[in-house]
Amino acid sequence: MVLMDIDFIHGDTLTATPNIVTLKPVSYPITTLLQHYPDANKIRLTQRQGQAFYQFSSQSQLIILNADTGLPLAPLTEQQAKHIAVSAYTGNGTVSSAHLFEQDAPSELNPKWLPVWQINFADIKQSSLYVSADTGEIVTKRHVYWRLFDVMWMLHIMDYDTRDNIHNNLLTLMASLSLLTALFGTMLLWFRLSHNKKVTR
Amino acid sequence: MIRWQQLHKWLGLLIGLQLLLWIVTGLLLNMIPSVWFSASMHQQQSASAQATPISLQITVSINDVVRLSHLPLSDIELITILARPAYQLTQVNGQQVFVWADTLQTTTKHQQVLSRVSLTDLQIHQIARASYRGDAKLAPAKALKHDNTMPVGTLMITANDEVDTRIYVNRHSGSVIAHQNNRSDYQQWLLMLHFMDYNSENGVSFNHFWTQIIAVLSLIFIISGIRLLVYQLHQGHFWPIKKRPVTINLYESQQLIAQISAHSGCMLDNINKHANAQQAKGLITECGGGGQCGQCVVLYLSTPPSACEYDIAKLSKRKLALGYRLSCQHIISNADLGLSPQQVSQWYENTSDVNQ
Ligand code: FES
Repeated sequence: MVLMDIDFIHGDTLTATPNIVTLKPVSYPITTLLQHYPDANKIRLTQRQGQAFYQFSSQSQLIILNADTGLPLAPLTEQQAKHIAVSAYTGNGTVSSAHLFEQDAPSELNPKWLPVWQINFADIKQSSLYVSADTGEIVTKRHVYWRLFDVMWMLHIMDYDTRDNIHNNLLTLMASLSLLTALFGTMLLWFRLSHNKKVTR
Repeated sequence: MIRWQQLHKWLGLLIGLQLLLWIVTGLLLNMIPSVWFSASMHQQQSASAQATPISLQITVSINDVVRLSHLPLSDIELITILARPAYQLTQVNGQQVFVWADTLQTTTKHQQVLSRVSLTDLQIHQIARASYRGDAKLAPAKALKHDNTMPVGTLMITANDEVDTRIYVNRHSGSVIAHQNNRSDYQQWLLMLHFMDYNSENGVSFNHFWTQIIAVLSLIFIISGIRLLVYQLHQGHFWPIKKRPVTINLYESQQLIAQISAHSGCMLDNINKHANAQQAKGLITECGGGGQCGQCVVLYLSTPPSACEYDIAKLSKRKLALGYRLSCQHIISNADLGLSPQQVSQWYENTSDVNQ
């Protein structure tokens, strides 16, 4: 696995950096927003497909407001999500399918990104781009090598359930046995290399 | 098979140390709980909700920011630094700039400019204090040397506690970049050894040239090891019990000197086990049964087993024809074995100097 570039595994080569559209003045000021949502937290102004929007949490909910009208912004449609994915995608496959995940994330996706569009491409790497249905951001990318890496990592840390706990007893046991094996191996190597005629077995 | 063995030996010598390091550091990372390593043991998680409404203090609007920013922006976030509102601006080049949301500066030419955040050492100390849960004394903020991985303008505040907590706060963002302590240093050190990442600039590098080399060599090492194991199993080594015990008679010039009853393993091991039980030394070897030194050679007085690769490499054609074989390479059988006078003379050498 170390022979494969980690940036490639992470899928960094799947997408080109999108040409960022710069923010323009907005008509709905942040102070008005704060009057309507006094507990608004982590207020962020950014944009998707040319429309500036505010994104913040209020009463532990993520809220997305159109930064010009102050009205909630509708979640991405399938068409929009596909458009975002296709314009960032650098491969030469076409979109094979799109799924909206709202409640349960697929196992390869962190649930914090929900709701999210999974846009799958028909290419040899079986690429998937995940586009946030709220913000239109490409939150993460997956392809067959990443999935392979995930399995390899599972094998490496021997956590066959959650795949991310390196503090499991099976690993402790096997690593301890390996240590013993390696130490015995070192001893054998030592005997082999030391030409001491008195060493017998 | 001899080639495999040579390969296995030299690879073991070449990469053995790194294999040990991998195992030991991996085991430590596995066994030491992450809580112990955690540098945040004294870190106060920042309160998520703002206590005081900051809306009243905001005098710089988003549009002011967009208008006055030097570079086009892709992202603006409202944050608070020491209870003052501020904007975190992400420029299109990805760099972040922090400006106050309650003040604009005016230049001498009466032009308005954004007021960049630049905290005093005292304010930095205050932020560090607020992020610190312990009750040890904090030393004054110190500037960092240039050659480190922290963003420009980061200061370090050390706490006089049992783990030497170090708090990194940035002057231009007011953010706590990191908490570190000597335990997190230890973890970093283990990771460095495990990843062979000896001159990491930032983070842990995965695709290290030497990691790749040693990983490939390890694979060959393992394959050669398995090949040798399969060969030995095939030869009959390691099978614990033979159904019927066999009898091995040892002769020195026609004279029976020992009778050994054996269940399993190779000739050499059984001969020496028998000798050791009698406080004798038995057959001397240099390679410990590896088929390399040729010192364990014995003469099969009747029906020698067919010569193996190791016999052929070590013994002359003439000797092979006479029935000489390496006793470490042949599994026990009912046999009459002849020892040389030299072997017999060394047989009873005092065992106390075996390991001298
Ligand atoms: S013990 Fe060295 S060759 Fe048999």
